[in-house]
Amino acid sequence: MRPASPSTAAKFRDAAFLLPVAGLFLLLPPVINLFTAQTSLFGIPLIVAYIFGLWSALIAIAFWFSHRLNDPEPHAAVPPDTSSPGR
Amino acid sequence: MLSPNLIFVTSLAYVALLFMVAFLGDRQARSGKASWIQSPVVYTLSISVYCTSWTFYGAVGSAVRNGLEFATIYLGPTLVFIGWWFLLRKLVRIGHMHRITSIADLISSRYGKSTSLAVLVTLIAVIGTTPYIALQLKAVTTSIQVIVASDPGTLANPPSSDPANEMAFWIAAGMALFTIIFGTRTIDANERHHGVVAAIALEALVKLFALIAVGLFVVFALADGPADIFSRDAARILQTDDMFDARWVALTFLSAIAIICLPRQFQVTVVENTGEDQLRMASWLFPAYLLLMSLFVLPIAIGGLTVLPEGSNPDMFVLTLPMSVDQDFLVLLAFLGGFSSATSMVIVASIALSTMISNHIVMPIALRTPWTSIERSGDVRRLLLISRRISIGFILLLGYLYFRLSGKSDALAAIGLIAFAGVAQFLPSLLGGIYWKRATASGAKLGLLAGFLLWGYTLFLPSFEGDLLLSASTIEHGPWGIELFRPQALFGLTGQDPLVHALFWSLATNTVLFIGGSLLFEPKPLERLQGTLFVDVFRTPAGDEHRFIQRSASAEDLFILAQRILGSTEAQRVFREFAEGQGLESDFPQPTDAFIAHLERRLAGSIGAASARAMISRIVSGETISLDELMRIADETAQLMEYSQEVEKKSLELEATARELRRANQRLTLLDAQKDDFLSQVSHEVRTPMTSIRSFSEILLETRDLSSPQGQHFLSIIHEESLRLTRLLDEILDMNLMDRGEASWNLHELDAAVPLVRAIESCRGLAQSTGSEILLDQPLPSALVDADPDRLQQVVINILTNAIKHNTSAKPEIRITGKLTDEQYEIEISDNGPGIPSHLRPFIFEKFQRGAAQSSTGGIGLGLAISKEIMKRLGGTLALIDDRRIGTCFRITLPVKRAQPQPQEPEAGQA
Amino acid sequence: MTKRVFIAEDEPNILESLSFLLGREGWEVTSALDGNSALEQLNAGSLPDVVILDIMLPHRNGFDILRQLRASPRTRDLPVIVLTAKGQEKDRKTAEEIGANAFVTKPFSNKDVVDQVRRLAGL
Repeated sequence: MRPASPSTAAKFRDAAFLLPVAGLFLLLPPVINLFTAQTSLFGIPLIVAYIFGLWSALIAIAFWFSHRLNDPEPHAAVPPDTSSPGR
Repeated sequence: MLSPNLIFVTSLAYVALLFMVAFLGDRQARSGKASWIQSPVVYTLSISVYCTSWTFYGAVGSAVRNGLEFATIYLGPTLVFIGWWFLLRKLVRIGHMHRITSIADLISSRYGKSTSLAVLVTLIAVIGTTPYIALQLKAVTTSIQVIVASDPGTLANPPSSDPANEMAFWIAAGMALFTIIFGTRTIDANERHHGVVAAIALEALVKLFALIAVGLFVVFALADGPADIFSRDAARILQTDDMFDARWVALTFLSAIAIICLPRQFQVTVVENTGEDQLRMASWLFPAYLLLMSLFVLPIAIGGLTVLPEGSNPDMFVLTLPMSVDQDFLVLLAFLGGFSSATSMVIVASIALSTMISNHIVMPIALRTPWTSIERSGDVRRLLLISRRISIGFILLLGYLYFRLSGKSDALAAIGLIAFAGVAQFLPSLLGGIYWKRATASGAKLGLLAGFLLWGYTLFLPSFEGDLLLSASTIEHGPWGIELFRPQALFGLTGQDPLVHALFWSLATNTVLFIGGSLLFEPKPLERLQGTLFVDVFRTPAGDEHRFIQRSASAEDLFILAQRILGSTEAQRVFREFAEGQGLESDFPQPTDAFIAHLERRLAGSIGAASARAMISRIVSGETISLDELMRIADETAQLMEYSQEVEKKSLELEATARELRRANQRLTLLDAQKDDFLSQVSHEVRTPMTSIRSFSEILLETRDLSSPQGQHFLSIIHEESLRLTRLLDEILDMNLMDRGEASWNLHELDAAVPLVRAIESCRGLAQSTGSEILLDQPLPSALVDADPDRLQQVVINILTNAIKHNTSAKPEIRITGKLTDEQYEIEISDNGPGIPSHLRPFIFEKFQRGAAQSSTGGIGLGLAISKEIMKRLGGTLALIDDRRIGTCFRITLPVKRAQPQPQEPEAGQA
Repeated sequence: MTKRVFIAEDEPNILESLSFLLGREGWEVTSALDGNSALEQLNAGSLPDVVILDIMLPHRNGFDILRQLRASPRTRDLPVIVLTAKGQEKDRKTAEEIGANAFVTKPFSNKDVVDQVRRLAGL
C-alpha cells in the first residue's frame, strides 16, 4: 500500500465519515421521494433502479476507500494477540 | 415431487458436511496454521448470519405486503459497514484490547465491570432472542411441511404447525448438539470459534447461492428478464403511496442499530474478529453480500403473485415457486438455503447467549456462594464449560417451547423487527460508553431498564394480541381503562405505526435517562478509568490500566486462581511468558500491578470482565485507584492530541517553506546563470569593437608607409567601431537605469503619429542601404497619447532596425499598419524575413538571452527587453504576434487619451 | 613557397585587420565569415598552413569546427589558433582539450597574433 501523506490520509478519513452520512441522506425522505415517479429505466421502475444503483455506488466507494484509510494515531497497530495459538 | 426421505437424507448429509467443515476449521486453527479460516472473506461471510430465514423466506413476504420496505433491513447495515472506520473499528479495537466476550461483557466492562449491568443486558438479550430462535424453528419446519405435503391445498393454506412439533424438537436438538460440540470446546481466547465460523461461512454461501438460483429461475425461466417481471400486474406492490414515511426512516435506523447490537452480530463482528484488517474487506464485501441477497426479492415476490394461486403464503414463495413448476432440484436448493439461514442464526445466537449466561449469570452466582465450593470443585473451567453447554440446551429448549406455545399465532411473523427493537435498547449505553467519558453505570442501568420495559409494554407484549400478560382489552383501551396508558398509543401518541411508536418511546426514554443518570450520579473511580480506556482506545497503549490501579497479591495466590480458570497448562504458560518479559528465569513473575492487570484481562477473556474482577478482588489487598493519575493521563492524551495536531501543522508549514525556498533557490540559480551569461556576452560585445580599434590603431602607429586612402579607411573603421562601442555602453546603462526605475522620462501629451513617423523616416537610410523597403499602407492615424517621444521613437527604431538587419529575403519588405480603437493606439510592424525560431519566441523579451545575441550583428539583444520595458512604462504593450507564417510581426499598443488631436497635422502618410 | 593562412571570423573589420597584417608579411590569406562555409572550405581545397578560428561564429561555432577537424585524419595535425572575445578560462580549457595549438584573446596585440602564426607554421 502506498503510504499516503498526512493530509491525504486526513482527507480520506473525512470522506469516509461523510460516506454513510451521504448514503443516509440520499436514502431517506425527502430526497428519496424525488424518485418515486411512475417511470421506468430499461423496464426497471425508477425507484428500484435508484435504490439499487445508489447501493452499488456506496459499495464501490467503500471499496475504493477501504485501502486508503490509515491510522493517524500513534498506536496504530492492533496489539498482537498474546494468547496462544493452541487455544 | 420430493419425498420426505429425500429431504431427510439431504438435510442429514448437509449437516454432516457442516460438521466436517467445522471440524476441519477447528483443527486447522488449533494447529496454528489458521490460513483461510482467518481470511477476511470467511469473516465477512460469517457476518452474513444477519440474514436468517426471516430474511431468506420473509423478505419476499415483506415485499408482497409492503413493497420496497424489505430493503431497509439491508440498507441500515450497509450504512454502518461503509462507515466502519468510525464505529465498528473502535468496537473491534476495544474488543481486542479488553478481551470482550459478548455485548453484555462490553457494556459491563465499560461501566466499571458492573455485574448487575451484565445481568440486565443478558436478560434483555435472552428475551429478545428466544422468539427469534423460535421463528427459525418455525421456518424450517414449515418449509419441510410445505415440501412434503405439496398439493394445491397446502400451497394456498400453509399447514398448521401442530404435527411439526416433534420435527421441530429434533431440529432444535440437532442444532444444540452441533453448537455444544463446536461452540464450547474452549472457554477462552476472546471466545473465538473457528470451526463454527467456517461452517457459518459455508452456510452463507449456500443461502446466497440458493436465493440467487431461485431468483434467476424466476426472472429468466418464468419470465423474459427483469423488464418483463416489472411489467407484470403484480408489480403494483411497488406502488404504495406513502412508502417513504416515518416507518421507512425508523426501519433504516433500526436495522443499522441491529447490526451492531444483536448479540449474534456482536459475536461474529467483534468477538470472532481476528484482526482489524478483516473489517477493511467486510466494509464493502458485506454490503455487497446484502445487495445480492436482496436483488431478487422483488422479482420473486412479483413472480409468486403472478404464478401461484391467490392466497398462497408469500413467506414461502421462495420454496413454492419452484415447486409449482416441479423444479425438484431448485426446491431442494431453496430448502437448503432456508435451512442454512435458520441453523446459522440459531448456532451463533445460542453461542453468544450461552457465553453471556455462563459468564454473567452463572459465574456471579457461583462466586456468591461460599468461595470454597468453587475451590473444591477444583476447576472453574469445568463449571464454565458445563454451564455453557447447559445454557445452549436451555436456550434452544426455550426457543422450542416458545415455538410450541405461539406456533399457531401470527405473532412470530413480526418477531424479527420486535427483536431488533429490543436489542436496540443497548445502543445508548453502547455508543455513550465508547464516545462519552462521563457516561456512568447508573445512567446505563436506568436507560436500559426503562427502554426495555417500555419496549415490552408497547411492542413485545401487545404483539401476542392478548395471549401474554396484557389482555386484549388492555391493549385496546389501556390498563384499567386509562386511555393515556394504551400500549400502542402511549400518552396519546396516536396515528403512528406500532413499531415507530414503540421505538420512539423506548429509545427516547432510554437515551434521556441514560444521559440524565450519567450527569446526575458521579462515576466510580473504576468507571472513570474504564471510560477513559474505552473512549481513548486509539490513544491508550494496551494494558495501561496498571498505571492507575495499585494493588498487591502473592504470585502463588494468583497462580491458583489462574489455573482454576485457564487450566494449569495455560496458566503456567501465561505466568512463564510474563516472567520472561520481566527478565526473570523463574516460572513466576513478580506480582506487579502490570502483571495483575494483565492477568485480570486474560481471565476476562474467559469469564467476562465483571467476574474476572470479582475473582481477582478476592485475593488482592490494598487496592487503590489513582484518580489523580487518571486525570493526568487524560490531560496527557489531550496534550498529545494537541501536540500531534501542532506537529502536523508545523510540518505542513515547513513543507511549504521548503518548497518556497527551493523555488527561490531555483530562481537564484537561474538568475546567476543568466548573470554569468550576461557578463560573458557583454564581454564579447565590448571586446569585438575593441579588437578592431586596437588592431587598426596598432597598424597605424607602426606602419610608416601607409597610403593615405588606406590610412583613411582604417581610421574610419576605428571611428565606426568606437561609435558602436558607445552605443553598446549606452544600452547597458539604459537597461540598468530601467531596471532601477531611474531613467529620465519626458512625458507629455502628444500625437502618437509624430514620433512614429519620425522613427520610420530615420530608418529609411538603413533600409535603402540593404535594399529593403518600408511600406506604409495608409497614413498612421492621429490620436493623443501620454508619452515620451524620444523613448517611443527608440522602440520603433529598435524594431525596424532588427527587421531590416535580419531580413534575408530576396526582396526584403517591412510593412507598417496603424489602427485606432476607442481606447487604444495600435501599430503592427511585420517583415517577410525568416522569422524567429519558435523555440526562441518565448525568450526574445528577456535580457541576457542567448538566441538574439547569436544572430545579432550589433547589440547584445538588450534592445527588445528595453523596448518592452519602455512600453510598459508608457502604459502600453509590446508583443510578438504569433500567427504569422512568414516573417516576424510586432505589435505596439498605447492607451489613447483622445482620438482627434486638435490642430497638429501629422506629417505621416507620405511613405 | 608562399605560406597560406585560413581565417574564420564573422566580424568583417577584424577579418580585414588580420588579412592586412598577415598579407603584409607575405601570407596568402583565405577566409570565411561563418562556421559552415569555414568547414566546407577546409574540407574541400588544399590545406592551409595555419588556421585562425573565431569561436563565436554564426551557424557553427569554432569549437565544433575544431572538433571536426581533429576527427578527420586529413586535418588532424592542422595547426589551429583559437580566437575568443569572451576571455573566459573555461573557453581556454575547452580549446586546449579539443586540441587547439594556440589561444588568443580579443582584443589581441598584432605582434602576438603574427608571432603565433609564424611559430605554428614552423617559421
